[in-house]
Amino acid sequence: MTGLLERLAVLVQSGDWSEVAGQFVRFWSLRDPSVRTVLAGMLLLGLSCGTLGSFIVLRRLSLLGDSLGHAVLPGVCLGFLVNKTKDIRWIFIGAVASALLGSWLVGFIRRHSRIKSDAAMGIVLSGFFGLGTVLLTRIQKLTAGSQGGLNQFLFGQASAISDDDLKLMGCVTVVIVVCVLAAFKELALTSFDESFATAIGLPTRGMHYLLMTLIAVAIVISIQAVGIVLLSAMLITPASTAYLLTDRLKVMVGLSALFGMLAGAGGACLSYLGNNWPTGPLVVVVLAFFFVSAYLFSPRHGMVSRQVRRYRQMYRTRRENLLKSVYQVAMSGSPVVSVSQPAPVCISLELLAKQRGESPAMVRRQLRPLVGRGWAKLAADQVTLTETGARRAAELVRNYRLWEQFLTREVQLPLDHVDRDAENIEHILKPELVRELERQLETDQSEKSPLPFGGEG
Amino acid sequence: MGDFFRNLGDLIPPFEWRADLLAPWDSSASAVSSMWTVLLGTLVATACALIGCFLIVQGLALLGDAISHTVLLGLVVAFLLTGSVTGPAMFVGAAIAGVLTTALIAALHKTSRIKEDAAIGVVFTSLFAFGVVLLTKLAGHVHLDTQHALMGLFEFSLLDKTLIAGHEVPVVVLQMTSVVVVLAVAIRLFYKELLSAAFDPEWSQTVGLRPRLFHYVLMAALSVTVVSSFTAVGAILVVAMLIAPAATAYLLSDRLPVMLVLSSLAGALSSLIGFHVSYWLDASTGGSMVCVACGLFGVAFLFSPRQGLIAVALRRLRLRLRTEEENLVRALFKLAPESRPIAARDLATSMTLSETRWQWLMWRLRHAGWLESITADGATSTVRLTDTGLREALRLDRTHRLWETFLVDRVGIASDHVHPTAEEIEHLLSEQLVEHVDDLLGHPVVDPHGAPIPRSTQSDLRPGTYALSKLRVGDRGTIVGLDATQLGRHVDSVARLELPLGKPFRVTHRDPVKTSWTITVADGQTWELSHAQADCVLVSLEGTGKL
Repeated sequence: MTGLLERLAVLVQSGDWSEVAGQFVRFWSLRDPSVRTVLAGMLLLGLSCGTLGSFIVLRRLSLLGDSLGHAVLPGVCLGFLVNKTKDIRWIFIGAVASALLGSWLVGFIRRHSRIKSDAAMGIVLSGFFGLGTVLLTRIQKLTAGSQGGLNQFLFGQASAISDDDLKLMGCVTVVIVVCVLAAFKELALTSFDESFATAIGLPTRGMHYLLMTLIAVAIVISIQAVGIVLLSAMLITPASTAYLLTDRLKVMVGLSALFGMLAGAGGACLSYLGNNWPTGPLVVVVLAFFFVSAYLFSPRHGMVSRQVRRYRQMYRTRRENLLKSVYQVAMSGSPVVSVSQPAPVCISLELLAKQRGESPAMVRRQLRPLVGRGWAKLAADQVTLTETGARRAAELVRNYRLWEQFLTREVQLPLDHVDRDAENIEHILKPELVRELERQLETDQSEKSPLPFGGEG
Repeated sequence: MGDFFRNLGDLIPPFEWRADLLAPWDSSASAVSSMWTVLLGTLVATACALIGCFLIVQGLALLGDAISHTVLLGLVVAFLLTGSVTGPAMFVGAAIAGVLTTALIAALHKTSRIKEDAAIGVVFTSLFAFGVVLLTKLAGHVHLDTQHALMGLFEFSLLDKTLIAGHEVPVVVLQMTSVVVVLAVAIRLFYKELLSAAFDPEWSQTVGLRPRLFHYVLMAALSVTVVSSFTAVGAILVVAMLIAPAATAYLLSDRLPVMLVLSSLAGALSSLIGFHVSYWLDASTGGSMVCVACGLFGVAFLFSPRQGLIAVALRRLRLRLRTEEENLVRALFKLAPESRPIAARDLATSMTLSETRWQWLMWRLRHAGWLESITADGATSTVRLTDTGLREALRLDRTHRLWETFLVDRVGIASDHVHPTAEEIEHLLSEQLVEHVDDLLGHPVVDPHGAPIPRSTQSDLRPGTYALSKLRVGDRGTIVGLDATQLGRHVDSVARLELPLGKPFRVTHRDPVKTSWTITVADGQTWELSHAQADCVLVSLEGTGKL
């Protein structure tokens, strides 16, 4: 037990908090030129990866990003070999070439054998990475010392971004953003409906290769900062987060770029605070935090908001059912339901409780939300529906009848099967739909027309 | 650029087979260490290959990738809880991480609009990143580092040894051996469940074989395999060992048991060759093994007898050559139906072929025995079809015209649109299939363009026993019996006909609308047989009328 605590203590101890806070301030004050470079670099690659990521996620190529990320390694090593220095230009060329070769190989294997694309990606990913490892160990043995930085390609080190790198990143980001903006319509169309795009004469394959090239380029500029292993997260996670938040591609691309930039900056900052920890994992942790938040709290697609909606619907159903039963108990003698001129409704709690098979106290408690909504007034032993309450109740009964009629007449369900279906739908029928139902059932005398009670109690 | 090639050349030392192949084995000390390395590699490769086969056939290769990363988090958490990264803690931690990854991916995929591939990507990168961050924080406290976890350090993992029966055995080898044994036994015991869960989960669910449970068991087994291979070859290279040997076997066989054996063999082979490659290049052992494994996949991809690129290309080439030959035979037949000698020069110009191609084609046809030269003196050489060639030409003609008839009569395509399709399909249809089409169409005599359809090559050239339905107007024969395989429910209707058994007859009429045959014997008595009846009656064909 003490051992466990000790180990956990290692995790949480982070030295002097004031020192960390000082570092934090120092990072964001941007006094340090190196900090400025790092931050600019991370923002740029967050922007380029985020922009491209949306298309990758939409095309379900998510794992291709991972394969390409790994496929870069031999190219990096070969680029290094050109003059045995970390010359960014050669490494860039080697890496892009190697990534493109990888993406072509995945397609080639898939087309010319029964190997499915997932296995093809796996083979390319690990094969290239294995080759890269062999080259890397070989280079390390041959040129001890000068290759020190190559290891950083695994997990990335934002602080290693130099001014030259920054210039390259800037150019590449501009190219990527311009390309995406210029070909936005084509990219969107080929991502959503490839056969339609082909049919109207868009260069579908061309778009695919354009995207692959842009991805390869984006991956290559990200390696140094994020590392090979976690690169794909930089592409997929911001876009997936955005995908949970919106239904519009333009908004998605924008949000995804925003999340990429935020996470890039956040990761760089954390890495700075933690004495140059590898940046890649930290960026990914920040991204994961965004993703989980969106997964839980996205207004439309989030877990929590969906649960809230469900509970709200549940309470509403319960409330309205009670309202309806008050109304029905009171009106049980009357032959028609009129929405426009509801009769004043007043029944004793005891009768209602008996009807619902509950105790009067319980019914009283359940009636409280109705009172709160101004649908009912509670007296000592009886409940009176207000005018709004009575109207709402009449509407509900009417919706119920309409739906019941629809199910029996149009869907031709037997009468003893419709009850439960009608019971649920009456709470969610919108006025337009009610009118449509009326029209369909050819009872379109007017909205206010009375409808006879069905044979239900 | 010159520098690049020189540097690249520096990277590859000269290969000396004595030094690179024999040296690791020549002294007893080095032989023992080589043996442990190769053995460990083989064990890792076998374990991965066994699991990998199940991943490949289910299209779960990338789940393997994901899990081989996320076990890192399992390891770190296991360390936090128990303070060790070896033994049972490691296995339990990894298994939990693997199952958790699978469950998280499934949950994300099911409860949100995120597609499965993106779900895999998001989950595994996040969990792995989390693991790496924790590990960095714990650096110095735990005997595990991130580079090690990714790339693996073969030699170091073998250092930890224990004494068994007086021999020093590396702990990791023992561990791996038990994993392989447990895996093999488990696959043997639950083969039926695993097989049905892999290929038909719905069916498996219906008969109560619990595919979901076995899916998660498979994932747990995968995690345990991955984590035990981890120390030797590293996470990413485990992915290669999971996928490459299994994919190699998948290209070579259609049967899961064969695949399991082949993939283990491929894994073992990669381990042995990889060891020598790493010895030769003085590079990472795990990396070399992976390169060899992927190389073996490449070999299978090219040379697999049935699936391979080359085998497929050869099949295509053979078909193209045959198409060419058959087209020429048909062209010859059209020019000279009675296999008259014709001037080769005329043919060459009419077919617009170059001289060399023409010569080659002629050689191939002569070689196949379809063509013979009458006079072979250069410009005035003449050729003609042999009997085999003629038969071949008739068969092609028949296929072509029957197919045209089929397309017009049954598919309803206009008769002026059917030629190109028939031109292609005549090279592909087998003789049995053509006879089926013939039967389906009621043994037609002319095609939609009014051209005669040649008879089935057999009945045309040799007398023998055939079904009556193959006969045409003017044919002479004797009924010799009934075909028991065709009779079935027609036995009564055939018996009622009271056919003239043993008497010579002629086919005097064929009704193409009713598809019936009318036969007349010498005394003028006639019988009319329906298609089904004619199929049942066997006749000895004694002579054919004109076509």
